[in-house]
Amino acid sequence: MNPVIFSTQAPDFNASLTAREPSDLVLTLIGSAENDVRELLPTVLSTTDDAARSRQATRVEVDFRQLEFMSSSCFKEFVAWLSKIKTRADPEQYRVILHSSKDIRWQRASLFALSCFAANVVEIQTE
Amino acid sequence: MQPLTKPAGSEHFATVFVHLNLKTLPHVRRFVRGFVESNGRDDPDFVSGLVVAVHELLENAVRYSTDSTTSLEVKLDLCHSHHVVLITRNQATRESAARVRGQISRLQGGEPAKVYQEMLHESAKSAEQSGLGLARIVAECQMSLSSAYDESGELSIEAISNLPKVA
Repeated sequence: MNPVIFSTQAPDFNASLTAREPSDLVLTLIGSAENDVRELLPTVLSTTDDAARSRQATRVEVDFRQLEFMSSSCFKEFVAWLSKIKTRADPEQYRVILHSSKDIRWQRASLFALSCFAANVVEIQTE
Repeated sequence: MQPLTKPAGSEHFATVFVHLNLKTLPHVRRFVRGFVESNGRDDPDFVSGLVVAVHELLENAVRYSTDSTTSLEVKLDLCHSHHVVLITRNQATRESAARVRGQISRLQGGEPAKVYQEMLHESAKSAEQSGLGLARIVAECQMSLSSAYDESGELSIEAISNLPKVA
């Protein structure tokens, strides 16, 4: 099992950041991101960003495959995170790989919008 | 000539009244999903888009309502125009109604995907209400939006989606 760097939860939501290798980070999101999760996400994403930078990660994977729903108020936190990454100088940037499920239909349009927003940062992998 | 009145049974309606509590939204989403699927609308992309639109309309309405009740009306017209209509109604201040109506006007006046990306860029720089929920409805769910604000202070927002004809 991969070492857990950080985890948090809310009713019907769980987020955990693990390291497959010291510089290979995976953020896994499970459940539904809405309501109270809006308060948690800035911490989840800033912790992920801090870990990525301190480990000099070249990529961070975000696993959405068990995230059944995300409201725009939570979506906005991802926009802020990606915005922060893409405005950094090249050596300080890392790639963000979004793993999506073809069976969870909202993910296609929402994650595509994120990939357009940060085209040089985001890659989508659908399973 | 077609009659102007619709035959009985051509529309299916559901109206939900939600008290000021964001925690009720998952239940409303499930109810709407069940309602449209039980009326023969089981295309997964359509249902998913509708559920997103219901959530975003209601979250906006509940968050900015000035009293304790927000209503959601869902109309499925099964026989004629093959579309679904979502309407939220809530009491709103003149300022918040003007902001929402301005966002809708902007979304309806431009190319949805382009305006959506502009709003994403703006939301990254500001903690203000971004309009991303409404942008999602138009750009991701491919629904059109309109709004009205009356003298009693009621803000209504209508989202319309065209549906494939039922076989």
